[in-house]
Amino acid sequence: MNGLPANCTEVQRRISECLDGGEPPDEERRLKKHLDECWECSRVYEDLKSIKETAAELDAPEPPDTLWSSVRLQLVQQGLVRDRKPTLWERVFPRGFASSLKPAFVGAILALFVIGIAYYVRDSRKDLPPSTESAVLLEVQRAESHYQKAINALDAVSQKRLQSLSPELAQIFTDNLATMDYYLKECQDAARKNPDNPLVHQYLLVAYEKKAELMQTIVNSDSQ
Amino acid sequence: MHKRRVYSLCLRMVSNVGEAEDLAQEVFMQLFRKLSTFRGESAFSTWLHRLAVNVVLMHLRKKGLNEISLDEDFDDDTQDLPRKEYGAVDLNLSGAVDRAALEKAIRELPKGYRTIFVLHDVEGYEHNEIAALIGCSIGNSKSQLHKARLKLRDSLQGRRAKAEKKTS
Repeated sequence: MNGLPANCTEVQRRISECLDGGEPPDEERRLKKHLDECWECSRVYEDLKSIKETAAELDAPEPPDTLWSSVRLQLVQQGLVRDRKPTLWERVFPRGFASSLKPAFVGAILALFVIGIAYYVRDSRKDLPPSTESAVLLEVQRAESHYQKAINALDAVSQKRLQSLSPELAQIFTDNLATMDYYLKECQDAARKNPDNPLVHQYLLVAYEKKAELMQTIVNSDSQ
Repeated sequence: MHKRRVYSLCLRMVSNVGEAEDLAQEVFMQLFRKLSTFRGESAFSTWLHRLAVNVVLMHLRKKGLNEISLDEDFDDDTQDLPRKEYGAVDLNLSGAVDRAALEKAIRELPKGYRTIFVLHDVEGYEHNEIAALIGCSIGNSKSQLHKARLKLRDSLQGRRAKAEKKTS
């Protein structure tokens, strides 16, 4: 055996359960009482507690830069996307598609969307002639301004509507609005860093469009 | 945000950078294929995380996760108790677990222990969820977690003892 008194042996077997709150209250009190009196067991308890607490705070390591290019390559190889950058989004966001979706799903689609923004778009600039490029940019900027106005107009109404919805539904909408704001900001940053890249602006437009659609969905939701 | 969490889960569970990258790729490929099955009933991050756990567990099963059997019972008296070395230096870890040392110690855990420790203590899954994911009993999950923590404690104490020997 371990050379410990029988009571310590039993306590040390149950330290993890005690740490995780899995013991009934009476049992936990009994264990804690023993820990107060037994230095050996309390040392084990404190060590395992430190390990558990430190594990919960470990940082998530950054994935290698090659991860997304490999994902894209596989998607292309498997015929899931064509090797033309906007097509991924055309497939993910067909016209009128998102309006019929549940709000959380829209958030999910935007997650994929940002993967594209952050990792593929940078290198995917199309070789448009300068005149075409500036015409596209102008159109995109007009559309951006249009969406910004629409979003501003919908903001107050959708916030008011959220207050009348069930807490669960309101929470889902709120979470997804937050997700969209995050992705929208990513797209805005990308557009700021690549002001001359029409593709980046197109993705930004899609982000605006999805946010406006979600807000419209909130406004049209039943309060039941 | 999502990519980092998925990659970190893969890396911690397999302890190999190349394998972790392959698994993270597989997760995002499956995400692409299965996105239409997401019903919006849970948060997207929860759904994606569960998908990632399933991909990694499938991979570990193929490789033979049960190097330490998840079905072992509680009969082994010594494994779920701390080792006691009389006359050893007091190496209480309390309040001073170094993150890098813990990361290294986790990497060195046997696969079965590592899986349960990472899922419970790092990723925050409950025992009933782990039992369902892995296909073991809740009691087994608890027992494996306790043994994993004790192994980590031993490992961290061993490192500290080595470091103290070097400095003295």
